[in-house]
Amino acid sequence: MTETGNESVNPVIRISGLSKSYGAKQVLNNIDLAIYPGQVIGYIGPNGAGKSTTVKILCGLISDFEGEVLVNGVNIQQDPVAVKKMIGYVPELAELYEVLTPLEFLELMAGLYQLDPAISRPRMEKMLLAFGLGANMQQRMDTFSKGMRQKVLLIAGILHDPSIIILDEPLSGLDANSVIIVKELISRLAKEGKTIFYCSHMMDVVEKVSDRIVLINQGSILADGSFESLQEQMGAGSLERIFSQLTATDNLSDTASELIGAFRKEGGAHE
Amino acid sequence: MNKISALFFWLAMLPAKLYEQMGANRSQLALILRYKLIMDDRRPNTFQQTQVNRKKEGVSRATYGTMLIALFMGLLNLIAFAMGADDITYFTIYFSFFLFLLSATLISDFTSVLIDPRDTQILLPKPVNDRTFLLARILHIMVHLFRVIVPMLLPAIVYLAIEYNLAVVIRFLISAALASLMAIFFINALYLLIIRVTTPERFKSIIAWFQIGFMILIYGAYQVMPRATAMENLQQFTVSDYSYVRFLPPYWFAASVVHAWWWLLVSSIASLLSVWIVVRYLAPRFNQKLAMLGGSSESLVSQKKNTGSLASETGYVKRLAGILTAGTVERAGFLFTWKWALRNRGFRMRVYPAIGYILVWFVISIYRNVFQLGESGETGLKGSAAGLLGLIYLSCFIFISAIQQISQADEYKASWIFYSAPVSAPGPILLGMLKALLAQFFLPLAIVVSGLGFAWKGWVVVPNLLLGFSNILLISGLLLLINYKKLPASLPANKADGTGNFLRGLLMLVFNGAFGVAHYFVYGFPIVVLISVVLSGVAVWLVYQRIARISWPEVATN
Repeated sequence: MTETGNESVNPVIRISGLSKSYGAKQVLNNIDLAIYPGQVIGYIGPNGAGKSTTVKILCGLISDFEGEVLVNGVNIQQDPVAVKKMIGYVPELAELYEVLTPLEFLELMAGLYQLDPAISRPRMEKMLLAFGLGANMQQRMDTFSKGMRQKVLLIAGILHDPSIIILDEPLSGLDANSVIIVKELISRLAKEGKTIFYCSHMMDVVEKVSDRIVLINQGSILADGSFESLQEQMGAGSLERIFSQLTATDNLSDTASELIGAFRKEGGAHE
Repeated sequence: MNKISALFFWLAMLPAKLYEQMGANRSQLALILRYKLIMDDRRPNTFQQTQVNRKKEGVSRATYGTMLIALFMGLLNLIAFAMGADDITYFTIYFSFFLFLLSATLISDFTSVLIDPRDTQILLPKPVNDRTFLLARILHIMVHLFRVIVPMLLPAIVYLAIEYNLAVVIRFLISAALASLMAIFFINALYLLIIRVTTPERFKSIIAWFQIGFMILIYGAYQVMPRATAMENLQQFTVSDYSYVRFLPPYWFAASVVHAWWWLLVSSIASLLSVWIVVRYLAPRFNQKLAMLGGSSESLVSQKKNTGSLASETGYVKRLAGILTAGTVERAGFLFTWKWALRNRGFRMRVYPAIGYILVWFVISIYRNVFQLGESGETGLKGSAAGLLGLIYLSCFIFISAIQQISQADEYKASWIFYSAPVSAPGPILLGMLKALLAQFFLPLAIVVSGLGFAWKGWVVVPNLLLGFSNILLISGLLLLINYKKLPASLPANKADGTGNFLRGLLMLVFNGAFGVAHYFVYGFPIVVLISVVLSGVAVWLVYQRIARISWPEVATN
């Protein structure tokens, strides 16, 4: 498998021999990965492939794993706090303290990253305004839609201007225009030299946004390279098709036939 | 933050220098604690959790609520000083109450306030060191404890200062502090036990069950205790007569107030030992397990479990639906309501306490009939019409509580299935819902009441039972027509306003009571009862026909 990007530079994230198991279940199996500055990594895989576990390890949420993870040369097991400072994390599922207002929530986040309020306060206001949440700054988030919460989380993830941004399904719940904004944001951030680790199921977005795609299944990396190089290896087609070739156990077209076949068996009972 | 939280915050942060020496980051610690306290204020407490009719925006003084309730419990605890013959008995009973109430209050609050699975997602990825997190959590727990303990002890402190002297108050405070430590031990042990025997995923719903059980227990205890023993007997009672009390913690705490100082030593050793066990063994494992609580997709869903029991359960429910419903739509409404009511945690939290209250009431009245009145020679429920009618008309209260809640759900948006399905009128769905609720929440009690009726009065009771149950079917049908033309699980849980609902509930009681009183007047005239049964039956038929014809515009959508 090939790696794109500037290999001459030191990697921002270097994962070597990473394994993790929950009891008898091996979730990650000897993963090696080097990620370079300015790369947008599309990290894809079916449910239960080990995506979230990788993300949790990178964010310092899981510390008991085998192997080594270095972020900007810092070992995450030895100094998790230093690594956390460099990383901005946007969790999936829109998890936030909904009884707080966006401003309160972001102030808490800024405080934990030890940002100077004189810098962070105008920054968060500008970002909220840019996302169209200007009128909702002082409202409790329990009334917010999923998309609004996702916007607040995105801001919380980049507020401290991290060099690495980990996005776990960042587009879920966002409306079409916000999706465009976020996609644009991702490529701008990458141009500024930030490294983006993008976890998602949405193949079409991953295909467009990422300049390197890492496909993981059953705890191992199956494919790693630019979309174009993957196409060359697997034969032309969309990322969706490549994904299913590598991960699906059954022929998906047969599955669809079986679904349709279910009507026939009952003798055309449907209207 | 309100003033009390601000005061606690200030107190908690006084030894900031010390925290820094322990390796915590002062500003981060203060920030986390401050926001945790702010969030406590905005979150409903134990008792508000079960009430769905709160306005979310309105819950901003939750800590005052918690403290008021703790104060109220503290006042109730003063009953201890009216029971028994000597000081050691008073204090032993007081500390039993105190330990129980404190553990119970804390365990139900711990889930929502102190154990927030979102912390793993939100706080842990932030550059904050472990010491800071740990200290923030400990301080938060301490503040929370004080918010409950201080008001709970206050009435006793005032009482002791008036009736005894300052020395007793001081000893009492020391004992109470030790007792609080022991309560923390109890809670931790119980939590760990729960987490050991079950998966973290089920942990939350078990805590929900515990909360329901706790409320029923409190209600039952305050119902039963004053009745159980006559007051004169209580006042001659002394714990010293029973040697085994020396092995119970409440006695140690009481003895450290009343008796020798060496009891204080026993209490201190016991409490500190329990704290040591918590810190050394329980807490670390607890935190490990807790970290898994927030896990999402990765926590492998156990698929195999339940399928067997669910299959058999749906089997008999389907047979029941076959008997009780006509048509596929009504059947669908029945089956959906049945399953949703059984499985939805929010619904159970709101309705099951009512079941508990009614059951407690049932048990008490039956107990009085069977055991007590027999001795005193009175006739009681057994002989009187009012007693049996009371039970009959009371038996639909659980149903009333259920129909009040069945339309409210957190996942109300999923009710699009009703609106998008090609159903010309929602009447059959509502009728199916009504029947499911009646079958689930009224039928079992009706069977019990019938059994009691037969046992007490023999077959002559049949016409009156028929009239009673027919009236209840009528009342429930009318209730639905008047008030609850709402599809099951179709409305947001916090939309309804509290006062309106309370008045409606009151109205239903009056409504129900009016039928009961009317029934009481005809009770002794079998012919009139039989004619009433026929009339009531016709009315039921008409009302249920009308329900089946409810049209879309009639259904409440907000």
